[in-house]
Amino acid sequence: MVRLRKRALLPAWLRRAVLGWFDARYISRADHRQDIKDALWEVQTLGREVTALRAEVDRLRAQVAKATPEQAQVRRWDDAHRLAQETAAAMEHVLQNEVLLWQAADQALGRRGAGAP
Amino acid sequence: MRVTWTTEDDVMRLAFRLDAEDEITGLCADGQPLRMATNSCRVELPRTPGEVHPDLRALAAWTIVAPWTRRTVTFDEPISPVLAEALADGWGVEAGPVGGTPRSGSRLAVSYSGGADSVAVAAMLPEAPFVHFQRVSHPRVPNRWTHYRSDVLARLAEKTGRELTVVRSDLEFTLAEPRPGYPEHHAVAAGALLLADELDLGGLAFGYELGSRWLGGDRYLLRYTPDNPMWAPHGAWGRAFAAAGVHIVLPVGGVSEAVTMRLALNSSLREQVRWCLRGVEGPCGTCGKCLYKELIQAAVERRPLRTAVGPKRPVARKWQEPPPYGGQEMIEYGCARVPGVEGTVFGRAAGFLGATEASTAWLDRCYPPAVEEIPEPWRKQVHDFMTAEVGFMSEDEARRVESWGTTRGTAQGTR
Repeated sequence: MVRLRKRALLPAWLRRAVLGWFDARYISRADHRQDIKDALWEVQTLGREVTALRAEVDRLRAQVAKATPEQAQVRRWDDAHRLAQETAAAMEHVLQNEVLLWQAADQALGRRGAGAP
Repeated sequence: MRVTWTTEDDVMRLAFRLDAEDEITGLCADGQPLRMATNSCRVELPRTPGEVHPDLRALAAWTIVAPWTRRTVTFDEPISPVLAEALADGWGVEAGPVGGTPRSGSRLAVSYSGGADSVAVAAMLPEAPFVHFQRVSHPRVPNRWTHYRSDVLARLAEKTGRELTVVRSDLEFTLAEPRPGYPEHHAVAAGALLLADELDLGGLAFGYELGSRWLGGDRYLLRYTPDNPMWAPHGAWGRAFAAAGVHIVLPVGGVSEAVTMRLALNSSLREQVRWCLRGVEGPCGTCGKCLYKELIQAAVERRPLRTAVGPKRPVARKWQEPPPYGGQEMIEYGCARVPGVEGTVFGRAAGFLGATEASTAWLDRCYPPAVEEIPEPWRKQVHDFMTAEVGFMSEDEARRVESWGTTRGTAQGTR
């Protein structure tokens, strides 16, 4: 009852002015429509950009695949690596044999020096 | 074994020949089987050496040929009776020819690798000059270990600004198996020995810490080793070095790697500390050494582990298995202190070990007998430093050292 009486007491011009002021604080329907249109346009643009980027990625991937060495080349490198390892290991044995040969030579010389046959 | 040194300007070449009973397989003083790669190597000194005392030449050679010598070692110059006796007592080898007088010196140098332990030693001995060993390739042995960046470590040593002698040598390539390395741990001192007369050395300080000296760490016994043949003053190597007038000094022999880490990171050489042998601009962060030291550093700094190494990586594999581990005391220390260790590659090890801060608190203090065994001229300096910076273990804590590997929860003396 109190509310009703208060509203009745408010003069029409003042009510209009207040309501108008409130309306001005909010976005109009027309503006909302425009915003939605803008957002849609932006989504579509982004969609196009993603498509373009995907194509770019595919192109670069293809390039990388092309840049990786051929199987034959990889095999050659693996082979060179294996050979290097094996050569080093073989070298080690040769050097060890050399040590043993010197040992044998010294022994033979020592025996001869000592008058042995 | 017969050894010969030849000097050509600033390069000293060592050649050695096997006697009839010698073999190319042998044993390091720590029991590791070794296979010889070749019988020659060289040591490049910074300048042409003057007269080098025969005992120094002999001992430098002995650090390389000892594993493969069975019965006799013949040097190219007569050695003093004192050194001959030390070799006879320590290894049961007949060393000769004998003649001449022993030498002595007065200064103490640091055998400086650049790792946390030797930086801690350097911080403790601010006046001591450095001798740094730099690995170079051997002209006869293909170097398959080029990832070992000894050049980077030598540069870092130069950046310390300390009095420094860099000795370059290929002696590690005399070892074929398990991999190139010092035939005996003491071969790192070969250059320092050859320069000992010139530098007037009476002692050489190494960064071997509590684990290496007293707990039989690394590939060694993993139990309390008061008579450690490598590092005890009365052990074979300790006596041999003393006989040549270059006493082995272990300033950090009484403290753990947690303490050496703390000392190193708080020292003025902090920027030059590098335990990683692979990294160039900084530690590689992926090798086993980096992982192990990261655990210790994280524990010392009380922060979570920072590593990209996952449990499946080969360097992390041993921590997924039950103990014993080499350096186990430090694994316990780290697991007890690193926040969130359960979720790291050390999580399983932490579960196995069940260590707590209380059970590892002894590793924050110094084991007093380690200071007592430091040769008299340098003992007080180390003692004072330990008193001021670290503090000594109580009797109960010292017992933790002395029962290491013999009680439950430790390595049980197995390898």
